[in-house]
Amino acid sequence: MIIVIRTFLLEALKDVMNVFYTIILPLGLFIGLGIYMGTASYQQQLLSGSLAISVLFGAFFSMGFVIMQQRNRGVYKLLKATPFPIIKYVLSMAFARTIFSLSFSIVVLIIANLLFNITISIINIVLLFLILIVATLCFTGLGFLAANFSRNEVQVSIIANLISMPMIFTSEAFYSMDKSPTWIRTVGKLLPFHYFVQSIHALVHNDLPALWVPIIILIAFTISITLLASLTFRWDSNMSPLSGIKVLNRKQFLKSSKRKNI
Amino acid sequence: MVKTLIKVESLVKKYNDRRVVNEIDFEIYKQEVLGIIGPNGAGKTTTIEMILGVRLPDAGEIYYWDDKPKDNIGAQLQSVPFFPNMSVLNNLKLFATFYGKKFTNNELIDLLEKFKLSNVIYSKADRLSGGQQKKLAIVMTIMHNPKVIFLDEPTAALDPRARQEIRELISDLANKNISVVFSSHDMEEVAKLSDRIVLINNGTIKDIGSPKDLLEKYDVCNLEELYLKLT
Repeated sequence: MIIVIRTFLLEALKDVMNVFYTIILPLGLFIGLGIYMGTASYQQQLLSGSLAISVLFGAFFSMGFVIMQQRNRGVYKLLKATPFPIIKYVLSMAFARTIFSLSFSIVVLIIANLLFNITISIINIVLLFLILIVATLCFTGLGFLAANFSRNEVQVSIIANLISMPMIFTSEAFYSMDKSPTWIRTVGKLLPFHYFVQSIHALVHNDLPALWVPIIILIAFTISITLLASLTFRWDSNMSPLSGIKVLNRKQFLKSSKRKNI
Repeated sequence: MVKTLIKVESLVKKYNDRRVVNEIDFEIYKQEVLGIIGPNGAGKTTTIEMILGVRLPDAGEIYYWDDKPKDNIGAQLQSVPFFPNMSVLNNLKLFATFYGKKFTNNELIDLLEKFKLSNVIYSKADRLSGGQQKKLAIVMTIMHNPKVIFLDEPTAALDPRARQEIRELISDLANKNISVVFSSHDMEEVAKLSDRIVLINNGTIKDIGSPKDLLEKYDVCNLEELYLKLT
């Protein structure tokens, strides 16, 4: 499993688009806007926003493309012919993405401290890591959903943009939503990214009582999305995303009646 | 003595209401090369994928010689499932883990040298030619020392030289105590390589036998004629 995780990490680091969207863009926004705007409160908001969009782009966009490409290349089909369980493979991918997110957050926290003198307590950093793990799983699940309902790169891109753009624009990742219309804020509250950003905000501002509600809602989103992603998972490009439930029910049948020794 | 490794009985696969594999029966023997031929959509790939456990049959039985058949079967499917950004060596390392195997770099380099792929050890997988990719896919099927390997159209879309190299590879494997099951549309290739042939059309087996026996039975000069007669 370690070799599989290492492979995914190396693949992620060699993917230029992934590096741009999950490292260079969030870091550039954080440093550039942080220096330009100059206020401590906005730099704190930027810290939350940069961490959040890095996870969103990495776990959702990158994973969506990777999963779809691997499916179309027949990786999952071949895996079914090997003793290596697909679930172990998928978990390795999610684990590698989590390591990637946590490593990036450490770099951002160090830069935040050195450049803008933002300090976060050790307990809050541990809590931040837990939130990043939950969020990475949540958005990886969304990446799977986007791939499950797509047949090619264009469709993944359309679905990912359709979901991510409203999430970013209706959240408080980079600006306050206090003066925005109520309906926009309502839309934001229906999406997991809002609660992810809120929970990081609470940690960065050391407002722990404000942490628990968003994190519970984020966990609920993660469980629901993961369940939906696993039910609609397609290991073969010719399968319908709605055939997952049927396949799950018939697995036991295979084990009980089809594999007999001669 | 002939020993059966895999036995397929009354196997059925339906897509929607259409039976793409319809009650087929055959056996795969130890150390044989079994060619599966038939028109596009005849049910060759679906049959192979059911034996491999990739697809579930709707009815019928598949018997294996081993409790854990997936540990001892190698598969090269029609698509090439490499990781494009990774080197050939790292792709091999990764695929070895899928079978629970670990190899040193030197062991893998030796393996690649045996298959005349030593010049691309450190190349990215997506930089390989079609023939090299197919060869690499075949290397991946045998790296865990399987008893039987399945090759689904291993020479499709390759130039004559690459086809010849793959054919030589299949012959070599057959001499190394490995049963090889392969599907192909190239009748000359099937006639040259196969000990026995399974001819499938519309999801049913039209006949099984050695190329010589089948040619005699149907009074035809070559497999192409036989193919045209039975499909």
